[in-house]
Amino acid sequence: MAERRTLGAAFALSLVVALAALPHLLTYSQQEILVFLVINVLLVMSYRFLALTGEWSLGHVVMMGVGAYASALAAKRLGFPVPIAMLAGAAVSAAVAWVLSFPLFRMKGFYFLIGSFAAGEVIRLLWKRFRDPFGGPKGLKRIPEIADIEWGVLQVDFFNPVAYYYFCLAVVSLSLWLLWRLERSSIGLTFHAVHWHDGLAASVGVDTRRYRTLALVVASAFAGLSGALFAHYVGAINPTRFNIEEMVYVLTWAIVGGTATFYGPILGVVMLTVLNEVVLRKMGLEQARPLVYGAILIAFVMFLPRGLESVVPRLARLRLRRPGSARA
Amino acid sequence: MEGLVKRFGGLVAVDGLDLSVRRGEIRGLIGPNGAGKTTTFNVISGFFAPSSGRIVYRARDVTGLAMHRVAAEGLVRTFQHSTLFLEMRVRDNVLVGRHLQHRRDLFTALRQGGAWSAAEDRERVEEILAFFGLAAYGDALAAELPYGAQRALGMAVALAAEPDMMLLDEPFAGMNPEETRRMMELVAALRARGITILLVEHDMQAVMGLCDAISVMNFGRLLAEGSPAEIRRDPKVVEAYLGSSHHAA
Amino acid sequence: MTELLLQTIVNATYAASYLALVAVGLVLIFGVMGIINFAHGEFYMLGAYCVVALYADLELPFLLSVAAGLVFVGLVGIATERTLFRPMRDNPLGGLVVSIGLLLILQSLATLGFGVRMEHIPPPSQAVLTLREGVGIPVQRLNVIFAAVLLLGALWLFLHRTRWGFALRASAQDPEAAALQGISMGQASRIAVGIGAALAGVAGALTAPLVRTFPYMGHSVIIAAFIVIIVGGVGSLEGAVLAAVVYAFVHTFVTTFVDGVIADIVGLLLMLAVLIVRPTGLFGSRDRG
Repeated sequence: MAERRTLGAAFALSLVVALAALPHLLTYSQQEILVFLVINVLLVMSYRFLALTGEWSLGHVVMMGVGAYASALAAKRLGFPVPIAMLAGAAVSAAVAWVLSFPLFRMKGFYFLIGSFAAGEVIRLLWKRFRDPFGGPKGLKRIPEIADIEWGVLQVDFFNPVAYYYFCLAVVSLSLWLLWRLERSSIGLTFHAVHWHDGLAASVGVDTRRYRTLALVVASAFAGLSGALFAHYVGAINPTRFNIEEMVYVLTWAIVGGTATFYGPILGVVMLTVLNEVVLRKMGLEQARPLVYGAILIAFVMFLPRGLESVVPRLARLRLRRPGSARA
Repeated sequence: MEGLVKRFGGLVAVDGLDLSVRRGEIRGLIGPNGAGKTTTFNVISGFFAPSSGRIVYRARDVTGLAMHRVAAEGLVRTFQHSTLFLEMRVRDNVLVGRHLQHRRDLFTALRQGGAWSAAEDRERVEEILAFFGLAAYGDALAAELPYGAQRALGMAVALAAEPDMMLLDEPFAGMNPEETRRMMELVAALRARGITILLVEHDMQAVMGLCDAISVMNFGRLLAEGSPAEIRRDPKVVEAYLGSSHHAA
Repeated sequence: MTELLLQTIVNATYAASYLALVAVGLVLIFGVMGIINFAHGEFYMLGAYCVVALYADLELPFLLSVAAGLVFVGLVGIATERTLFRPMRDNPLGGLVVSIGLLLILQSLATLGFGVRMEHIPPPSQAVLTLREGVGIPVQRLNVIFAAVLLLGALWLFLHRTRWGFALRASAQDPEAAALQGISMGQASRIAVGIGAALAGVAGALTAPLVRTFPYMGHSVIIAAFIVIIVGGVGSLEGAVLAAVVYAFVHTFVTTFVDGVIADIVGLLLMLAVLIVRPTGLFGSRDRG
């Protein structure tokens, strides 16, 4: 037990060091990709949180957009300091999700999926339709970035991808820690119960609707936060950035990684980002990105439906067996 | 338990049924196929809302309450067959049953994190597992249990909710004589803990051997009510059963 | 005002006709396989590109190009059924994901083959039939309406007057009933997906000269088709045709008298309303639960 704890601490420490050192090993454009990767980790992990209850949404990227628009408008129009605006963005996302939960949770399974897609499209079309305040099809531009910090020797310019990467890493780590705590609490167990048999859960007093709503609201809050992180880094957002195609990417990350474990979706998004930005870009095949994603989606659903995460224990077992068999 | 009264009108499945169960008894609800037993059961437990009529439990009107609210009133049902959280561990199945005993707000949950299941919760879960003879299976997946143990687990989940009254939906269905005998002991032991029991059942032998009183339904109505001995002698019951039980049994 | 009203009715009828073709195919596939085909808009797009390749580029006769579109997309459908849909039968989530994968692949292939630019397709007929002063319908659109009525009529006859059609309808309800007709589930689904895809393909081919033809053109069509099949009651062919008419009229009228984006929103709200009133769809028997 103590040995395991030491091992875990060592692993955590090396992870921190690796994550801190990572941007310094990369080119400028790779650093920018790294920022987006960290933001996408939060997005896909919030998606998984909802999936714990067994519901799959097609409106999650729109919830990210709600956070992005709300945060951008709070900073631009209302003059909120950017970090406060980001929290406001997450809160607005949560509130919108709460309102949507009333119609959407009259649906289940496949119909929830279609309903969430329709609700998301309505929101997206509203951004498109109303130039004031959403900027119409062209969206919002000149979204303020986080104010530079100048405290004596400590000077941070958040336009610099490395600085913003550290900021995102801190925010996302904290968010993941919160999601992890929730999942490990009685709430997480109840989510599983709602997923596997909502009737049985209700029979012992679980208000299944309330728990579905809770999952949707929390997931949307963190999706909104990821949208806010995105908006204030890129400086411009538009309705197309949050369309169904982007949703399909999130779905692909979740399916490729798997959603049964906490690390599954992270595995998915990291692997696919590496594939995308390193392999495809090097080979000059960026045009073929949807083709590759489509083939990967199909291959995983047909041949590895539980995702990459289901391969990890098998690999670990292989590694354990080798010294074991030598002893025997 | 002040009494349980239900009346229906307009619903074909259950037609103006009056039923009252005394506190602490084991009451059997029997009848030929299609008599409306299961519908009655589903209405009491909040699975369906009744079209009319009233359900009173401990002087509180629970008519038409959602299932989770009925459970919160202390009235917990079980399901037919292996209705479990099959992909979850046996211990976690029972832990879900403890739902009503937890504080469940977001901030408590955040504070608790992984250490949420208080010692008393754990203790109770182990005690319940032992009571149902499942102690050895704690870490197994519910799907991996033998059939009899799965049925016991279904009751363990319900018992974990600390009900005053349990509604058992065909607890003996599909069981071999040995499993049936075990289950009868368990039901009797539950009553010994002070839990009132209403069970719907096909297995006549088990019902006769176990219940303090029996209500017989036919065509959505109450046909007869009384002790097992009375019911066995009742010509109306004999007739209803001879009419349909040849293929039903 | 009367002219505008009449003209809008004419336009809505045209929209209803090709939408019905697309939606009926979607319902057919769903009925037999339990899969909602997200790539159905891409079948439509493939049909349009058949016309681009054969009619606009190779200058073959228009009608021949449309027929080729029907056959080609039908074959694509049969191939899809065999490779992707059959392993996912009655697994709505899995079916959804593989069809999204297919959607991405077909879009990419169209982009790689033809580029993302909008195709210019000269309409085979420039004639406009004038119904009365200020109300006209291009002959090309009229042809789409005729073709849709003809094809849907043929489909109805096929489903109600032939052994195969009966098997198809039966297998949507009960696989064993289809087997009794001596037709296997595999054959039934092959026919269903083949016909469903062919109908989308022919709709795309017919409308190619009338709409903006580009690799992502399936997007707006699939959303409209989803709305139609939900409103019409998932699994009902007659319902889909009726809902296509209702949706096309609502959408066209709102577009004409308010604006296009509001029309899209109204359509989506219509679908949400149906989902709220009947959370499992109007015909909930195929619910995933």
